[in-house]
Amino acid sequence: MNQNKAGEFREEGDRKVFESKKKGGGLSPAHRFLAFMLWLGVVCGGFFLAKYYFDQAIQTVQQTNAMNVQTLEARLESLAADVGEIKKDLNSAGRTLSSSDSIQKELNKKIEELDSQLKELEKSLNILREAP
Amino acid sequence: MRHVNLFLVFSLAPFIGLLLFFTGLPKSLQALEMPLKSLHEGTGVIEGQLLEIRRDTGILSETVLEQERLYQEQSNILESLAGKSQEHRQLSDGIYEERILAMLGPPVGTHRSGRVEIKVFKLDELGYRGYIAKIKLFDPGALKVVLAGDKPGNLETTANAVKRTGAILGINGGGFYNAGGKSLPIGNTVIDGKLVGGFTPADDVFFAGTGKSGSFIGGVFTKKEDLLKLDPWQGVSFLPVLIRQGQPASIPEEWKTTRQPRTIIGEYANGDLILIVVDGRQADWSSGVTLERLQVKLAELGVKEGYNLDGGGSSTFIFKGEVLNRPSDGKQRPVVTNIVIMP
Repeated sequence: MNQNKAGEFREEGDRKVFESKKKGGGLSPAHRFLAFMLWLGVVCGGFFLAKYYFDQAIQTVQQTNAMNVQTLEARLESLAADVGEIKKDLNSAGRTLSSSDSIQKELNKKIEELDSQLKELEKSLNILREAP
Repeated sequence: MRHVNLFLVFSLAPFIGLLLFFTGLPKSLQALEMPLKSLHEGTGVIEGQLLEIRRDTGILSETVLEQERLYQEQSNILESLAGKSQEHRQLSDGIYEERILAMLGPPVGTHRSGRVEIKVFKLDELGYRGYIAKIKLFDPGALKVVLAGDKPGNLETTANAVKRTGAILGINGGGFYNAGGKSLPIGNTVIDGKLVGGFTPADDVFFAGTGKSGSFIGGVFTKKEDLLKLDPWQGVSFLPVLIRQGQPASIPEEWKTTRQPRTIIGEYANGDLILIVVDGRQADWSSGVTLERLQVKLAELGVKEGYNLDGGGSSTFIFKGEVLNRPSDGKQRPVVTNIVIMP
């Protein structure tokens, strides 16, 4: 008898569980929709958060790169200006050297002229010595 | 409820994965940064080197500029020295000219052109008179030897030669002789660089004239090559040589002591030519001069080279179309060669 009673109670409990399972597993469409919307919201939130975070990180890298490039460009410009100055100085030195070369040639010519004139002077003085 | 929680946990699982991924993202993104560190370092090194190069080029430029300045300074000093040297030479030449002119006295006639400067002086010494022409040739072509009728064998007066050539001054030239009815020049005559009648070697007969450059040529030439290497342009021959390189030459005895009309060609130390014609055989005017005395006179005048040309009745001096001297024959004697100066 007791066994029968106990068996009845167990069957009753199983039924309740089954009913409750039947109640939980079988969510109403509204609950299902809400759950889906919640899931979608989380997905969208995750997406935008990730996008924001990703964009921020990219932007930081871009900024760093841009700054580095700018610094490098500035230094290259400075180098180019230095090279330009050096070129100018060298050109100026080259022109001056060329000018110096022509002046030296002119100088040699003048030395030769002076030598010639001194010889002429010597000749003239010798002639003067023979003057009556 | 438990099922809901499970559902949520499983739903959020991918997002947790994503969050974990993004947590590690910065490190990955850092790898995207341009590796500019080494580039910066390299640029720094280049900058340093360029700075050094720039400093060096600056020093180079300054050195070159300094060099140029020194050259310029030296050039100016040389120019100044050359100018002073030229001034002194001109002064020396001027003093020499003054000394010559002081010995010659005031000129009685002058002519100056781009080709020649002529100063004519009277020669009035004890016992003889004559004329002297001091000639500065700017153009060697201004002095010409003129063959009578422009070919050998003819005779012509100096005045005629002067007139015919349009010359401004003329004197008789070298000696000549008659051969078979033809009058031919003695020794060697050069006209426009060509020997007239070939070369005649001689031991005592000189050749006197000018070279292509206008310089005076004089001497006794026994070899044709010796004469030709001096590049003679105009010249005549006679004898004897009176002054060589400022020193009196030995005169043959038979020429020494006779007083005769004379014609002389010579050169001053400064390259000026001197032409002298001395009258003679005219007791009331000029008895002539011995070559010995003439040698002394030439030395007094400062003549460096002196050569006795054909004298006697041939001695004639024409300037600006006028016969200045008094030829001993009372008229001009036709001669084979004349020396003329073009205006």
